Amino acid sequence: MWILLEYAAWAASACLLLWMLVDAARVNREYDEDTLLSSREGIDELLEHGDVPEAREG
Amino acid sequence: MVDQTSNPAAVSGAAAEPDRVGLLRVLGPVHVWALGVGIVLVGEFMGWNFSVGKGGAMGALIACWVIGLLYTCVAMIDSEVTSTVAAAGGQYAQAKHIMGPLMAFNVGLYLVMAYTMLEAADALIVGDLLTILAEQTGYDALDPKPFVILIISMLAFLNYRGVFMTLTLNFIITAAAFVTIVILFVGVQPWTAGAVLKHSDLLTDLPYGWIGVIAAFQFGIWYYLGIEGTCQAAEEVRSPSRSLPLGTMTGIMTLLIAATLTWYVCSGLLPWEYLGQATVPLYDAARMTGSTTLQVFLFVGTLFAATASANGCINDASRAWFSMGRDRYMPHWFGAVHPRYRTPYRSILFLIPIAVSFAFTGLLDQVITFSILSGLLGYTFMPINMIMFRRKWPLGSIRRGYVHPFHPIPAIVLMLLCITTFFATYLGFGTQLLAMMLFYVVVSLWFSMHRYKYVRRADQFTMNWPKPQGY
Repeated sequence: MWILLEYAAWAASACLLLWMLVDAARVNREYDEDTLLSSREGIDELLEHGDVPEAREG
Repeated sequence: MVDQTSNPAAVSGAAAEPDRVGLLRVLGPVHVWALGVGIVLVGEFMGWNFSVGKGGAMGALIACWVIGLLYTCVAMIDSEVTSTVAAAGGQYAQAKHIMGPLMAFNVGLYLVMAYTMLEAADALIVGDLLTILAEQTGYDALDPKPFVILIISMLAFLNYRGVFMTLTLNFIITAAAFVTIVILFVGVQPWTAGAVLKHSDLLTDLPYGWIGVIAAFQFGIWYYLGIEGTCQAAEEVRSPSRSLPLGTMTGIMTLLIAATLTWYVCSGLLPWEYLGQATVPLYDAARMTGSTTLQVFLFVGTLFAATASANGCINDASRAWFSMGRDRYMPHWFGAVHPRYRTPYRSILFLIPIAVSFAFTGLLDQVITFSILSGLLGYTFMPINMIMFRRKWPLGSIRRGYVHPFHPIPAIVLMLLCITTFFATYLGFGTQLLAMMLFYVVVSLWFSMHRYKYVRRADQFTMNWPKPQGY
């Protein structure tokens, strides 16, 4: 049984890795690079939403 | 599997900026807790007990609480800075805004190295556990490699498909692993002295004196290594100013309780000479009770803890690498976000073969040592960062989500404990420590002399803060 599980683990790993690679290739093809790289670092929402009060110490 | 674009937060985010694809703000304090505690909890099931080998059982308890103090300082400092610098990359983003690009580059690498190596160590542990299970069922030739690669592939797949499902699963398996520790504690009837636990017979004086206690500090880190990973979720939590401090502080409280329970049960069931070199001490403690149910619980708990740790490490390492790519500290190509699942998919994919390579070496102790050293370097940066943060932007000059009390005491205590732990690490792993330092010096030279010219210097500073005091 364990030998079968070893083969099953190899096969399942290959399927998962292949799926991710194929999906990544499809996304790279379907979307332009500017869109994929358009993420901006998290804005300082504490400053953007001025209604957030200053936290008290502790 | 949840399609992340079906989440209302994603829709509103897309409506606000239709052309921009960013990480999703879908997480709450529970996910932050699951990320931090999930990465760490495996350290209660194994690894911490090497501190017993260095300092005896009482020395290990001192290390547990002293290093617990170190991590409490880490959690306090992280809670304040991250709730204000709420960006993926965690300490990397903090260092960039407060200390500058070279420190940020180094901190980013500490994070990626620490988490990728810890992920590899976790996968090795899962392989070892399955090997033990196979041996107990009469098959002693199990090859752990397919299971090592399977656990990494499965968790990478989960991370690829979305952060909400990834950390929800982490919450479930982390909570289950924690419950197994509590069940073991209740199972040994701590309220009846001497019934199961034999502290009066097993506890001894410090076998190697106080130098042994100091030497135990490096393994005391196993109890808590990775709680600072909560910061990596900063760009994906709905309310950073509330969720990050809440998740991080409840996380360190959970770990302090789990660490103390673990020490109490193990030191009352196993002699320190055995405990100091055991591979799976909590599981061994369950075996000593003679209860098959407790054995099964602890086996499952160990498996869940290792899986949750690897899962959190994939999340954190990929966010740190992604952030460095987004700022062009690494090739910009890594700064891509999946338009459907809203995850840093290229960074997740890129780190898979690296984690598998580390795991296939089979050198669990070496891999975890380099992970701890990278983590320790990261902790040493934090007190300097905190003091500079308060000096450059004093209270009242910018809005903070959380302000930690007693500044600068936590920063000073953290620095002193880091120096002591470096000394302890030097006693046991001097060569590795020096090799690691040399590696970071070389890559710093590479960054300063070559890579930094690709960085768009104005674009990397995104916080809408006033000019720092003194500039």
